[in-house]
This record gives sequence, C-alpha cells and structure tokens, in this order.
Amino acid sequence: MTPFDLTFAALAAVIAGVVVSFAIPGAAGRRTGFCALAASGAAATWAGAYGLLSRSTFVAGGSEMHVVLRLDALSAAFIGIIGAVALAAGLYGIGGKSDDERRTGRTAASTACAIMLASLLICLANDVYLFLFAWELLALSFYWAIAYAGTDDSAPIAGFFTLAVTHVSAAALFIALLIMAVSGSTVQDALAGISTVSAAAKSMLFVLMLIGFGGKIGLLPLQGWLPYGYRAAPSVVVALMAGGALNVGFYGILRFIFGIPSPAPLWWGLLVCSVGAVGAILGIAGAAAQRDARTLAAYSSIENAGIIVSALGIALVGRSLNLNLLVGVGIASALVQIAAHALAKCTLFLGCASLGSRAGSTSFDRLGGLARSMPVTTAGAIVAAFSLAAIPPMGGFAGEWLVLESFMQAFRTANAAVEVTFALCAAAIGIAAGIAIVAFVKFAGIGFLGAARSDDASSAQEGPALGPVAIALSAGGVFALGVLAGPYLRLLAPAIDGISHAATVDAMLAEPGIIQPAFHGFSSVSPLGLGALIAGFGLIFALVARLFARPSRRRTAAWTSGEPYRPWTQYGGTGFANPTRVILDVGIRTTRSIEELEGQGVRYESATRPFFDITFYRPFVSSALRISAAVRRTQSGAISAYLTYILIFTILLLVFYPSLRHW
Amino acid sequence: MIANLRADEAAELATLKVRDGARFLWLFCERVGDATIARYVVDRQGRLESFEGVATPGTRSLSKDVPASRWYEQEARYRYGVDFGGPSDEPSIVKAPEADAERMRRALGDEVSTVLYGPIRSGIVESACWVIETAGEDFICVHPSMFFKHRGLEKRFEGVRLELAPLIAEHVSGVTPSSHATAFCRTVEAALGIDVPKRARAARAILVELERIHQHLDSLAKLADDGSLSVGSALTFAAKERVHRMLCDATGHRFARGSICIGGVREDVFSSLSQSAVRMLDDVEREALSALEGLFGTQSLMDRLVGTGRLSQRTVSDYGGVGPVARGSGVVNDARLTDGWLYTRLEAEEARETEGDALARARVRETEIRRSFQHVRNMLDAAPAGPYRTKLSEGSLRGEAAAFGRVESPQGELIYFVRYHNGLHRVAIRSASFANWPLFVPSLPGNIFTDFSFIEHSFGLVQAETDR
Amino acid sequence: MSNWIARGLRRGILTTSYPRRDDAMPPTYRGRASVTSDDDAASLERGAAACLSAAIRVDGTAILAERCFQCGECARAAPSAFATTNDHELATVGDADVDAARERLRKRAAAFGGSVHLRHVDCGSDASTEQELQAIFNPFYDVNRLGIFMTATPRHADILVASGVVTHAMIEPLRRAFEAMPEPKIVVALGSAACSGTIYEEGAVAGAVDRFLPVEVKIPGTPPAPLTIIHGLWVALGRATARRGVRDL
Repeated sequence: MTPFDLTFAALAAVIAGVVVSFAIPGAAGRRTGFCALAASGAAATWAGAYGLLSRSTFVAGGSEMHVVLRLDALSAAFIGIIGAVALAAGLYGIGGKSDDERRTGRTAASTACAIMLASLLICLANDVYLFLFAWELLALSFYWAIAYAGTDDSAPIAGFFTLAVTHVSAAALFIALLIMAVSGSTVQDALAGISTVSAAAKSMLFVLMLIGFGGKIGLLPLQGWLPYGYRAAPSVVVALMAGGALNVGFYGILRFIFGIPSPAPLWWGLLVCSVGAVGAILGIAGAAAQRDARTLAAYSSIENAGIIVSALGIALVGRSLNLNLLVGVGIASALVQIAAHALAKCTLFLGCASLGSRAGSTSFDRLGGLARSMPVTTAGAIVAAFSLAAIPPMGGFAGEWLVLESFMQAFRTANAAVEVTFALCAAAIGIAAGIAIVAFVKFAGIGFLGAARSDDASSAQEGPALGPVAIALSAGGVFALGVLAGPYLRLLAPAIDGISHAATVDAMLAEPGIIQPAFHGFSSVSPLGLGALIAGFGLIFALVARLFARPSRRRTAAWTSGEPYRPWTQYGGTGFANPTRVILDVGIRTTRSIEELEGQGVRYESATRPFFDITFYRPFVSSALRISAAVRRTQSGAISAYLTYILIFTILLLVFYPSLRHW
Repeated sequence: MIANLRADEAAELATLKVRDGARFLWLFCERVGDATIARYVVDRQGRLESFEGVATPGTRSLSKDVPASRWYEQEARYRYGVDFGGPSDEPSIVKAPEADAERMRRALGDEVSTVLYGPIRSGIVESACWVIETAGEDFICVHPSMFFKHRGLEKRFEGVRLELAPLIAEHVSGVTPSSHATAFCRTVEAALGIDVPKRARAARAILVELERIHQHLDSLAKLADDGSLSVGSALTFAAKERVHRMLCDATGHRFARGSICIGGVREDVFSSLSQSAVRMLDDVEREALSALEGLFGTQSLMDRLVGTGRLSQRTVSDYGGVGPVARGSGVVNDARLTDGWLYTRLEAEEARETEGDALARARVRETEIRRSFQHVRNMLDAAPAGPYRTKLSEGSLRGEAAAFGRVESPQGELIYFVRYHNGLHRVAIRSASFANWPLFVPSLPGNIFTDFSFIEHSFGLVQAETDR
Repeated sequence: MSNWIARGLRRGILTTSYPRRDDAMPPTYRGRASVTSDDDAASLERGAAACLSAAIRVDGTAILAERCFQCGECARAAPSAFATTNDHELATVGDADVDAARERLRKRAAAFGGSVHLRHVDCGSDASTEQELQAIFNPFYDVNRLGIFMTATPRHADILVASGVVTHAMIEPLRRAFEAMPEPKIVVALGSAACSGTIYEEGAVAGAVDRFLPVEVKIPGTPPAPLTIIHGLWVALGRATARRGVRDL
C-alpha cells in the first residue's frame, strides 16, 4: 500500500462522511459522520508519516480535468498533522453529542467532514483551479459550521463576519493565483511562470498571497473573525478548524510564497516577521482579558499564527540572503510550532466541548473545582496550557525555543536591517510568551482548579469514555512532540530540506540527544533530557517527601481570617488577569460600568474591545459602506440613467479603441 | 431637652434643626420601664440640643434626610429592636452571630468576587470584618461588619460607685483613657453641679493633649510602616515611646490611667507632670518633631498618600465626620472650641486642610502635634494654684439629673451622656470613631486594595471605642 | 529627601538589653500590687471594696495578679494594707510547680529553633494591649534581637498571643486561629482582661481566653508594659521562671 492509496482512502472516507451524515437521520447519522472523520484522520496520519518516510513524490490525475493530486514531503507533513487532529476530533465526536451542537448534531458531523475534505484537497492539489476550488470549499464549510452547526446566539453574525473576512482574503488569493495560472495550470508551471515577471509585479503577487493565506490563519489585520467564529461553532468542529484546517494557510505560504523563484527582496521577510510579531502580542493580550475559554483559545490561535508566521519570515529572509541553513531552521521551527499548536489547540477545544456539556459553561466565572470530578479533561487542559505557554517539556516549548533561537542567528546575516528587525521581533515574541503564561494560568487555574463557582460546575462529571480518550490522545501527542522533538524533526527532514536546499535537519541533529538551531556550537536543547530531568526531580521530591514526612498530620479548614470558609470568596478570572489588562490597556480597551440598581445594590459589567476592532475594522467597514452607498446612487433604477451610461461607454470605446488595440 | 413626645416628633424636630444648619450628632436609646426612648442630639452653633421621644413600631427613619444618622439607627435597631422606617434591606453593620456574609453581597455581575477581610487581619490590629466586593483590585462595594468587640461597657456603668466609675470609662478605649475619663467626669460633674478646680482642669487638659500627641504619632508611624519606610516608622514609634515614658514617670501608668476622678484628679498630677516635663519634655518634643520632619520629607511616602482615600467636604459634613478626618476635608468641629475648655489661643483655622486625602489628614495630625506641645507648655507655664480635687459630699451624690459632656479626643469629638438617679442609671457613649467609620466606605472607591491600610491608618480610629 | 541614615546614627543605640541584663520600670510605675500587712481587717475590706474587678481575696489575703488592672485604688483606699511596686515581671503559668513548667516549656521551645513567630488575635481588647504589643518592636525594646518575630498567618506561627476578653462574636474566630496553627504551639493570654476578664460582666462577654483555649502563660497588665510582655514571652520559651500561677476560683 503506497501513501497515496492511504490518502485516497482518507478522501473517500471523508466524502462518504459528508454524504452519509446527510442521508442517515438522527444520532446514527451523526455518529457515522464522525466515524468517517476519525477513519479519515487515521488514514491521513498514516499517509503523512508513510509519505515522509518513503521520501518520494506521488502524482495522480489528469490536467485536462484540472484534477491533479500530488503528495510530496511538504504535503505529507501537513496531511499528517491535520489527520492527527481529525482523528482526535472524530473520536471525541463519536463519544456523544455535545450541548453546543444544534439539534441532532448531523450538521456538525457533516461540516467537520467537509472541512477535512477541503483541507486534504488543498494539501494535495497540484492544479491551481483545484486549489482554489478546495479553498473556496473550505471557506464555505467554515461558514456552514459557524452559522448553522452551533447553538450560540451569535452564530449568524459570526458566520457573516467570517464569510466576509475570508472572502476579502480569498479575493486577493484568487487574483494572485489566477494571474499565475496564465503560465500553466499546474502549481509548478504557475510558479515557474513568475520568473519572467518584473520585481514590482512579484512583490504585488507576494502581498496578495500573504493577504490570502493570512486571512485563513488569522494574521494581522485579518484576525477579527477568529474569536467570533470559534465561539459560535460547536467546539468539536472548532477543534478541527483551529487545530487542523488553520494549517492550510501555512501550507499555502510554504508552497506558493516560498515557491516564488528567487531572487526575493529582503523586505518580504522583514515584513512577514514584523506582522507576525505584532500579531503575537496583540493576540495574547486579547487572550488574557477574555472571560470565555473558547475566545481565550481563539486569541491564542492568533498569537501562535503570529509566531509561526514570523518563523516563516526568518526563512524568507534567509532565502533573500542565500543563507540556506537559516531558511532551514526557520522552516523547521515553524513546522514544529505548527504541530505543537495544532495538537494543543485541538486538546483545548475538545476540553471546551467537555466543559460546555459537562460543566455547564465555558465562562470562567462559572467554572472551577473540576480537578477531581473531570480528571482527564483537567489533565489534558493543563498539558495543552503548558504547551501554549511554552513550558517544558511540552511541544510548545520546543517550537518556541527553536523560533527564538532562529531569531538569534541574525548576526550571521551581517545586515543591519535584519539584525534590528529580528531583535525587536524576538523581544515581542518573548513578551508574548510571558503574557501567555498569565492567560494560560488563568485558563487552567481559574477554569479547572480551586473550588466550583457554580452549581453546574460542582456537579460536573467526566463524559462517556471516548471523549476523555480523545483528549488524552491529543494531550499525549503534545507531550510526545515535546519530548521527541528530535525524532519528529528527523521525520520532517525531506520537507524541510526540500525547501531550504540544505541538509538542515542533519545540522540540527548533528549531536545525539540534543537539538541545535542548525548552526553548530551556538546553543542546544535536549527535550528528552529536559523531560527526563523534570520527571526525575518530581519523582525524587515525592520520594523524599514520603520518606521524611513528619509523622503528625492534621486536616483543618483553610485559614480565612477567622471567618468560616466560603467558596464564593475565590478569586475570579477577571480579577486574576486584571493587572495584565490594566498594563495592556492600549491594546485591549476595557470599559467598566457600575450601574446603581434601585435599593438592590449595583451591577458591575466590563467589556473588552480589541484595539484592532476599534482602529481598523470599524473605520474600514464604515468607509466601505459609505463608498458603496455612494456607488449605489448610480443604480438609480431610472432607465434614462442606464441609457446614458451605455451612450457614454460607447463614446469612450470609440475614442480609445484604436489606442487599446496597440497596447 | 423636650420630653413627652413620640419618637417621630423628636425625629422631626431634629431634622428641622439640621435643615436649619445644625449638625446632627447622635441618636441613642434608653429603656425606661417598658418603653424605649429614642434620643436625638444635635449641635446648634456650639450648643447641644436633644429631643427624646417614645419609640413605637414604625418610627420614621432619618437616614434618607440625614445620612449621619444611619449607623446610629442600625445599632439601635439591633440592640433595642427599634425598627426605624420598617425592615431594612441595608446590610447590617452589626456582626450578629447568625449574620451571614452572603446576605451582605450587593454587587451583581459574574466578574465580581468577594473578599472577606477579617475579623482577624494580619499584623497587630483590632478585630473588625470588611466584606469587599471587587472585580480585581478595585473596590466596588464595601460593607463593614463590626461589633465583634462589643463588651457591654455602657451597661457596666450602671450602679457603680462614682468613685470608681471613671475607671470603667478608661476601659472603653485604653489608648485614650484620659479623654474618656475626662468626658465622663465632666458629664457627671455637669449633671451634679460639681465644680472642678482650675489646677485639676489644667492637669486633665495636659493629659488629653499628651494623649493626642502619642495617638497621632501612632497613626503616622503606622502610615510609614504601610509605606515600607522602616526607619521612619521605627523612629516615630520611638518618639511615641518617649511620650509614654514621660506619662509613666508623672502618673505611674504609661497611658495615664487611674489619674482622673470625679471632682478633679486623684493626686497632684499637675505638679508631677511639671516635674517630669522639666526633665523630659524637651527631649520628647525634639524627637517627635524630628520624626515628623523626616516623614514629611520622604517623597516616596508622600506619593502614596496623595490622592488616596479622598473625601469631599460635602460627604464629611453629610455623614457627620469629626476630628482630624473632618479637618482634612475642611470641616472643623473641635470640641475644644465649643466647650470653653482652658485652651487659650486655639485658632479654629490652624490645622485645617482642604484636599481630603490621606496626606491632608496626616498634615492635620502633624500640625495638631506641634500645637499640642505648645498647649502643654502654655498650661504648665500658667501653673494655676489651688486644690486638685473637689471632695464629693454625701449630699451632692443624691439627686436626679441628666447631662452631656464633650471632649476633643485624638480621634475627634467624644460625647458622653449620663442619666443619674441616686446612682448611675444610664451611660451612653458616642465616640469619635463611631462617628467617623461611616466615612470609611465612601473614601474607598477609586482606590485599590493596597491603599486600604493607608486609608485605615489615615483615619486612625479605635475599634474598641466603636464597639464598646 | 530625608536622610534617615544620619537620623538613625545620630541617636546611637536606644535598645535595652533586657532580659539578658536587668532593666526596670521607673519607680513611679504601678506594677504589681501587693499586700503589705494583713492585720487590719477593716483596711482589707476597704481595699477589696475598691477593686472593680474583684481581684482581692480577703480570706487568705491575696491579690490575684490576673485580675488586677493596675488602677492603684486598693492602695489609695487602704494605704496601710496595700501598696503597688514597680515590679513588672508579672507572668504566671498554670502549674503549681513553676520549675517543672519552665522545663516543659523549654523543651518545647527547643523545637522552634532560634526564632519564634507570634500570631496576635484581638479577642475584644480595649486597644491599649495592641499598642503595647506593637511597642516591643520599637527601637527601645526590639524583640527581633531575641529571635521573636510577628507573622501574618497562623500557619507559620508558634505562639498565639490572645489579647482582650473574649467576646461572643470572637469565640469562633479565636478557635479557628488556634486550629490553623501547626504543632507545637503555645497560647499566651496577654493582658489582664485576656487572663481573667477583669471588670467585664459574665453575660456581656464570653469570658477569659482559658475558657476556650489551653492557655500556657498568662501575662497580666492593663496594658502590660513592653518589659512585662518580653518577660512573659521569655517565660513562654522556658528561659525564665514565672511566678506561681494562682488559679482563679
């Protein structure tokens, strides 16, 4: 069985899933759909690993039909990650319907399968038209999931917002790719065709593609839809969206932007780095202020998108300066971070699905006290939180360490602009990592630990078996990725080396047991060693505590200044993150209102508006509306106006046609 | 005093006076036979006027018209069962054993968390509980839960020999015993028409002023401690220690307890104070003023106090604030001015600030300390001759009378009421701390948690005299 | 900016060496009250009647130090029978055998190591005990040099210092504070009101501290002077012998 056969199996399973979940009514349809998703995920993961190991490229399909599928190392790497997330999400879905899936939940199942289908096709498409078809299919599946599959009240608005932003970015992508498709419809031909184009045109294509792919991954300034979309869709599907489908944007950047033939100007890489770094900070600043676990995870996705993109920016810079090892280390760190983020985000959203169904809410003000009653979900959430806050020995640590180390190679470029930009971006990402700790301690601590803040939370229980299994699986993947980062890099070698045209992974894994950022002798980390050290110290401490424990021990109530203990004297999420909110007020504008109620006391409300919503989206939307209002006046409906337009146009044509012909 | 009214009518009279510009002072109750009498006390241009009436169910509540009456009504509601204006949904300030803090929460909103601060707080502080509703570090709603230290002292007076009764007054507030003993003695002396010789009055005044000095130094030292100014705090506490040593040298007790009695002072306190002053007063004054100079020259401490716990003049006069707390916001109602009290050359405007923040209150205390040293020296120089005590004859102890007496304690205006009928029948105490605590809650919003102890110490109130 | 270093250095060392070396209160201080002569029954009656807190037992004449609040009225009413001295070492322990008590306390204090942490609880005092307890940390006494420190939480405390008579509302908080302290722990009742309830009436307050907690050392005084407190803490650590503890009836 070749890897390609496996990918066909994955595609087939997921197409079947879409069809079946429509056809079979009731819970059975839903379950079959998620089974198909899980099966597809399993097949895709296997295909990805197998494909990377086999180190060969597979092609199928005919270009006359514009259906050409190609599985090379890069595609395999992404299919593997997407497949793993789909497997976890599918397993969770089989376990039972979550409360945030509407009615029978068949829509959730079918949209999940559709998203998986579109993602696979994007990664496999070797034809520009197929690529664009799959891209649009993904956008529509997102809309369908957000607007129709969930129970949240904000679904229609969130869906519209998503659709709008996705299509603005898709428009840019369409323009760029269709221009490229003039030279030939396969991806290779299209990319080769740009080599003859002027530098200005190349830069325009680069910007258009960056906008196009940025809209999908939540790159500034197109990130606004993520919090709304991830909140409105059912969390099981969001696990797939945020963990799996998001990555096709990175795939697109790697395939197309890195595919643009050299020379590439330096400012491309510097722009990408800067945009990524700013996005990282604004994203995580927003996360720290959120009251709902899903929106916190959404803002964290924005942050990670920023980090990954800035790693890709490092690689672009390396490409412009012909430093192949820099290219390689940038791509390697991006890929590790992508994998770590995918699995951690998947765990996070599956955890949110659990919270919503079992603990009654995903709002921090209503959670807490779940460590004993929902141990697997809590453990999974903590592992994911550690990873996203870049704490060893999880995968997120390995990824961010590599990214920061890659930034530190700036001195090798001997270019002032690069050194300054890299220094600032590294500082920004460092700050983002610090704020991430606040956000994720809030997530794990306020959300799961302490005492319950509501009756629903105090009566919560772990769900039916497959749910915790799925969470444990993806959390285990996060941990494994952290500890086995070295072997994972070895697996990805064909993909990394293929784009960087240098033996990067060999350089990174030159010495056994440790990873170096490609350049020898600079720095190193041993994820396996770190993991062993942490586990070892933990074990030693536990043994020492047991052996030398004082014989007398007494259980007594918590000390609360002499008053009896009351569970509602706990700190809340807003209080915990308040200092961060105050310091970062420039990025997250917080409004607080205290309203006097008649004889009853006061009502306290606070709301956060991300800085970008106020300064970018609002003016943009209002000016767009103004322009369209102005243009609408031309469509007056009066026949005399239209006749005038035809007359004017004919005159213009007669005047300019001769000169047009010569052009 | 006007009797034979219903409490509603008495309340009405009091409200009218307040509207005319009088200052609302006090509302307290008394059980006379089966009936409960409510007594409203106002200050009109320096003179105390009171109106009493029989409290009936549904006696009207003054708290809407006169915010200063709120806490008095609450305590009367709890202790005497008088329901002013019907059942109240306002959280009670009285910590009854059954009271649950849950019912005190008043801020709605998911983000609000509640902190129970007390009764046992960190450091060497008196017991009181605060229910603080916060969204993080700010104060949304704050409710005091007091009277953990209620010791039934007002009742303890009843039936006690006049010879020993001032000792009970000294127990009400052990840190300001001279003010309490003086106020109690003045009240009984006013009721029984006992004349106090000048030498005794001078001795009492000197003790009250020295008390003012050591209590103000205590408040400033605690502010310095809150601001982590360890050396400043230590030197200020050392200055306070010197005052106590001087008092011990002169009277045999570090807080000068057991010196004041009805009719004067127990021994020739004036001459022992003079002798101690000759040896020690210069050092005490120099150290105190040096500490003050240091504290007010430390910018980091001043920065913490500026703008903290601001009280407007309007709020202070509405709630009936007294003492340094009121002076800090520009409201002066010093009992030394109104009660013809041996103070020569005391100007009303001298220790008056307008900012209303913690720094203003600290500056008021600084000025008062300086002026108190001057008063002490002036009175020692004046050296009135004569007896130090009027002996009480058997005849003077018979009779039926009631009176009020006021003293400016370090915390502010302290009022005693005594009803005498061949013995002490009812003693009621309105301490300055009780009058000023209602101002604490409005001073908190706009500040953050760490400002709490700064504001508390800038108020400098004593829980023991509040809870009695 | 104030020059605190200069200010501090200029004053030199103010701290007493008590209890390592002797120190005393001024001769005028009204410390321990004592019976000078028990011949005249009338004088004894007069003195006993002058005591608001019933600290004087006429039969088997004794003054219960734990009830005395240092007013000096007994000496004023009957100068031939009673007198006050400036003796400030007033601490008492519950055992009749004070040497055995000292040994027991010393052994337990050895577990505290070189330093001991106090947690203070105000059960219903008149505020003066708190200010005198605060005074033992001022430059004149500075108990930190003896290894005695304050702590904010009972979890870290070795000695619970309870001041003031226990009011009804403070019974449970006091018990909770005691429960929250780890073993070994010592309870010290600070001030005459905490030791015995002095002038307070039975129903109005709940009683002395030893009605609710096992009190090891009682430090009388209203308020106890800083030297008295230091002596009392020294007794609690088994480094000084208490005077005999006289049980209240």
